[in-house]
Amino acid sequence: MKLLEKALKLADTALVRYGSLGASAALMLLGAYLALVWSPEAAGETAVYRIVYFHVPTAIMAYLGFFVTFAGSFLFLWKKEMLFDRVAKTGAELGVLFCGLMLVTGMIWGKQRWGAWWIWEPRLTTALILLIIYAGYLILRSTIDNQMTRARYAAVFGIVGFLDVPVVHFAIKMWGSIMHPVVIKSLAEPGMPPEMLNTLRVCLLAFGALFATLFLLRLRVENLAAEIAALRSNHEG
Amino acid sequence: MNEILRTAHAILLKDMKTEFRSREFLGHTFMFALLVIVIFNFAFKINPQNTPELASGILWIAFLFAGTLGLGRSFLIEKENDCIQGLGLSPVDRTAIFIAKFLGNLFFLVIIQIMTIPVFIVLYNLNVMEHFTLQTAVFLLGDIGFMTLGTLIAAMSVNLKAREILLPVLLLPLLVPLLIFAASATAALLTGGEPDTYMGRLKLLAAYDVIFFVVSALVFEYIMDEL
Amino acid sequence: MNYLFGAYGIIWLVLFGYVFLIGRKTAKLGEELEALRKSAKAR
Repeated sequence: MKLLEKALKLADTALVRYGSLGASAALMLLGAYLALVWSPEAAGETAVYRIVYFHVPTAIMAYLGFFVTFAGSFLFLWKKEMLFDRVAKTGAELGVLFCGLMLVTGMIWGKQRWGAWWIWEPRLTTALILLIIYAGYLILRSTIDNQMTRARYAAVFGIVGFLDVPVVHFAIKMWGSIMHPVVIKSLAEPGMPPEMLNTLRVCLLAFGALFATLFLLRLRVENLAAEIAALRSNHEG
Repeated sequence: MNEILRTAHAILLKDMKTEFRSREFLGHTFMFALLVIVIFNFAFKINPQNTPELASGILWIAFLFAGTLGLGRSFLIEKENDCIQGLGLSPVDRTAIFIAKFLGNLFFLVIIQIMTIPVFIVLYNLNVMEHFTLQTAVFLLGDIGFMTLGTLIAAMSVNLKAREILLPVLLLPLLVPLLIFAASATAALLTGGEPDTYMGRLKLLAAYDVIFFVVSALVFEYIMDEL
Repeated sequence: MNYLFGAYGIIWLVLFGYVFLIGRKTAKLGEELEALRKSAKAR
């Protein structure tokens, strides 16, 4: 874990930060171009299908964020290093952000496909529940003033919450098949033409870079705040 | 292991003694569960045809709400009497406290259910316990999962500023899978589903229970250190 | 088609907004840190 701490500290330089911001921006633009202009028309779908190129990555990034929270929570309980608590908080915030984006893009896509802003479809519903769970995590954090208590409680919730993620996923899928026996086909079928797959890959990479950038930037805020708090208590001491 | 169980037993007995003296709370919670069941009748058009489908939902929601109330209470009494410090300082394995609280909460919920279900049967004219063993299994397994996470979250929320509202806000989303498994199993039993369906659900419930009981018991100590 | 622009638009807006907010917070904290360090040196 010392390695992890060192890696995080090394990455906290202006070069890395601005560099990854620039790289993410470039990749995102490339991805957008590929998604909106370059990739071919989909059979039987209107141009709105292109939402999927951004929708799928936001979903994956949301799950990544939740995993980061889980890892941070676990590491915090194990090693008692506050850095890991900050990592967990950042992960949750990013997870909630991307989960929200996933919901919005999913709803817009759904409105076009099914005519309604919302249907209780497994993926959307799961995203909604996960969003609520992790919003709960952030709310929990905001109600505790004591640093240690907050870190501990959040860590416990972060672990339990993440364990629930696959269960929620599975349970809602099961529930969905009870409610909507008609299978809703997703666009990411194996018979996807290579151009589409590549576009998706690029967009995924772009969002991954974006996630890493946002993570570093957001974590830095937390680290700065922690440093300030430490200095303050030294002054008073 | 025996040490833990013995300690849990002791704490459980203590809780039982203090709680049974305040039988009022049991009565109040029962009234609440009853109210939920009755209110549903006014909120929805319930007729003999759709009752089997809706019954499962009504029951489980009533128990979720009533159970959540009972959970909040089980740690609140400690906090109010400042017993929590005593509990936290005592050199017992935290797991023992968790097991004791869990069992106490479970017992409380089961009593509420035993009191509420007959009333439901009469009011809605539906024998919910027709497949007695299976239905009991569903309720028990559902209760266990509910009280596992519930005990954990309640222990946390009792220390928070907005404890009454945070307990359901934090707990209920985590319980969504449990609700799905349990309510659909109950519904399957009531509407004459296939054995595969509810046996499958029962297995899922059992798996849910095991996973979360183990995890909750393991992480519980990290909460208790703050108390 | 409007949906498409709407979806992409929202994503870009939200992301830009988030980065902007982070930037502002970072700047503010940076100033605070500098101020604290200076006052520590002054002692």
